[in-house]
Amino acid sequence: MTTDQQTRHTVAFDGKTGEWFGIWIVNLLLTIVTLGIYSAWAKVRANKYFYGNTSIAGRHFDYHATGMQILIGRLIVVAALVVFSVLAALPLVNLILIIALIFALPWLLIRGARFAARNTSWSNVRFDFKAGYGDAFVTYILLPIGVALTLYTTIPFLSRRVNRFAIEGHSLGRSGFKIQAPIRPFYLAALVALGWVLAAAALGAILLAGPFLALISAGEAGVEPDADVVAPLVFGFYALLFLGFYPASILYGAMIRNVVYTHAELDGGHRFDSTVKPVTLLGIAVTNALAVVFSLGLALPWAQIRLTKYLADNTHVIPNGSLDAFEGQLHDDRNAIGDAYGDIEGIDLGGAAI
Amino acid sequence: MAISKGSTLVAPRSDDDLMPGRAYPPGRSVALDLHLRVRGRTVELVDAAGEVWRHVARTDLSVDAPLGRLDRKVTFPDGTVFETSAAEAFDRALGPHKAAMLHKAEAFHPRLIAVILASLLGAFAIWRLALPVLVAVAVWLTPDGLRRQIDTGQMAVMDRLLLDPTTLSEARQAEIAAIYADLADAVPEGDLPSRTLLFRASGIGPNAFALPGGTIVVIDDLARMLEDDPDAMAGVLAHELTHVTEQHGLRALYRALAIAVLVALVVGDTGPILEEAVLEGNILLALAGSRAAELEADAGGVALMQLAGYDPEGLARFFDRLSLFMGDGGGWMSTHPGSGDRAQAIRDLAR
Repeated sequence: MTTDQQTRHTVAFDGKTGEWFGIWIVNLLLTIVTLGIYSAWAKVRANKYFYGNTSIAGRHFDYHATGMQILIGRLIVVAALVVFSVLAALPLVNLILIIALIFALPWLLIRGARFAARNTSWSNVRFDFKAGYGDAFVTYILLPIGVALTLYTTIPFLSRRVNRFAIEGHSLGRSGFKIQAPIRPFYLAALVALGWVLAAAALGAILLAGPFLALISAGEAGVEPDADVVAPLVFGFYALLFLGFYPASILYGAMIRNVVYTHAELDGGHRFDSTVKPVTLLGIAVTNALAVVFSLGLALPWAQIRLTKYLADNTHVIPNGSLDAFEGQLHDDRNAIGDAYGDIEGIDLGGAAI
Repeated sequence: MAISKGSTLVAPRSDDDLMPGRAYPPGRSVALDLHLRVRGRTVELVDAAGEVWRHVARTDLSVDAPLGRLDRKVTFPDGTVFETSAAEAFDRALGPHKAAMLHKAEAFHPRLIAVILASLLGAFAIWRLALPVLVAVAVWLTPDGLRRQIDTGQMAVMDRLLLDPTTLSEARQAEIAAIYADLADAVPEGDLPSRTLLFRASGIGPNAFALPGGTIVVIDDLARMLEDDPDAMAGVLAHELTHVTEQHGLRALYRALAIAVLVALVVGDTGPILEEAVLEGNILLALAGSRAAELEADAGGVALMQLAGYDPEGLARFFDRLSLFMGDGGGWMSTHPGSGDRAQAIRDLAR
């Protein structure tokens, strides 16, 4: 389409469901048999498979962390969590610990991102991640509090900040990433997401209000609120979550991804593009989830390949000149504490990192 | 047929061991079309003209574990990387990698069915054996302060969604508080994280429930229904106190969290929606409680009543009234056993 300008490379993903299924199920079995210890090596094999099968202009990504590094990181984090819980039993100490954790969180996030970046390469050049503690503290601790104070009307500003933090912290070798994005498309995405939640809530209220009221007023006696009584209320709450909030967050994420990629740039004038269709992505997420549930989890490898393939097919790089010129030093990063904390607590940058 | 490794004395073999591929200079993105040549104990990178670019001992070479159909990859001591898709020639020339067995086991093959079955069996074993241990350790590690914080959080949510301020008279509240005090005094020292008794109005029927931190909530309708029967009121409170001392609520909560963490670590990234479903769905199940926990609370309640000087018959009477009021309840789907069975079990225990 853009033949008049530069070439446009679509990210290629060549992972195959059958092949990944074999790797995944062997990972799973070895993890169970070794009481979880192998999960560190399983993570390396999974990342190597997905990165190695992802390429831009015929040049592959790779993952370089070792299972031992990840295992040591996880053991340290688990030990720290145990010590933390034991110490938290002491009256004043628990308050100090919680404050300490709040201040440690930005550091853990930076270390986690740095470990991941330094152990990722494209075309033999390692990524890196550098960010100031203060920047991370503002982005992940102070701003979320500020956003809550504005009754979440400033979420788009937080999204932009989080993505800028992730993008601008990363570099490929010596070449840094930059992003300059206006706030308008972020607000547009938030409005679409809000619209979805309101529509889901309205539809839910019309369809479910009747049965709910009937069930609630027929309150039964018991020594607990019986599941029959509470279930409709809880069910309504979860319906709103699963039909309203989660789909809306997927739509929002897809729109933000497109905005972030189109406004990001790699030193040297290399540009990016993302053509994810929010509704298609939502469809994939929903059908994936259903397939996994109804297959007792066995369809998960298929679902992961399908999602990764869709995202790759809709991610493009518009290089400005040769891709041969990247270079960088090899920073050995064996400190997987931040990475392990992210794995266990489920916290990461949450940005649209490359 | 075994292929001999060859020795340095053997003359260089033909193009068989010349593998085409791409080489990357250390830390640079430029790819060069070179060939890898294995000659006895040395490995070389050569170009089309036959010029040697790198020449190292086989043992100084770092060889990546084979994975799927991915290109085979070696790293030279100076950081030069070489990739080739000629997997067969690569394995022949460099010998099997120490992870070759793993690579073979991962191949898409009918024997994976055995791996699937073993994994499902293992997952079941974790659920039945490892999960209870994890939960017990987590419960043991949880300080009382955290339990009380959980209560405060849950009450805030329920006050907003489900509960209204009580309309009971001060006198009636004091009566129930006195019964509560008798029972709580009979609980062994240290088993109650807090002594908190709350009254709330609600449309959820005559009810009472306990939170992990020791908070017990009595719904107005229940207080009115049992106005004439202090033993029955004591029965309900003793049942709830047993939930607290046996840590049923905390156990259920940790079970939900432990399942979410185990799924993340064992199965891997479950993707959007499912990730939330695993956590939230489990908490939903945890809220519903279990039949076993209810029966345990009935039995513990009977013992506690006897200790505090109340007649356990009160709790049995309560269940009689329940079944008169609303039928037996407690089908096989329900989280609560039937009222008739429970009254009978309580009378058997009290005897």
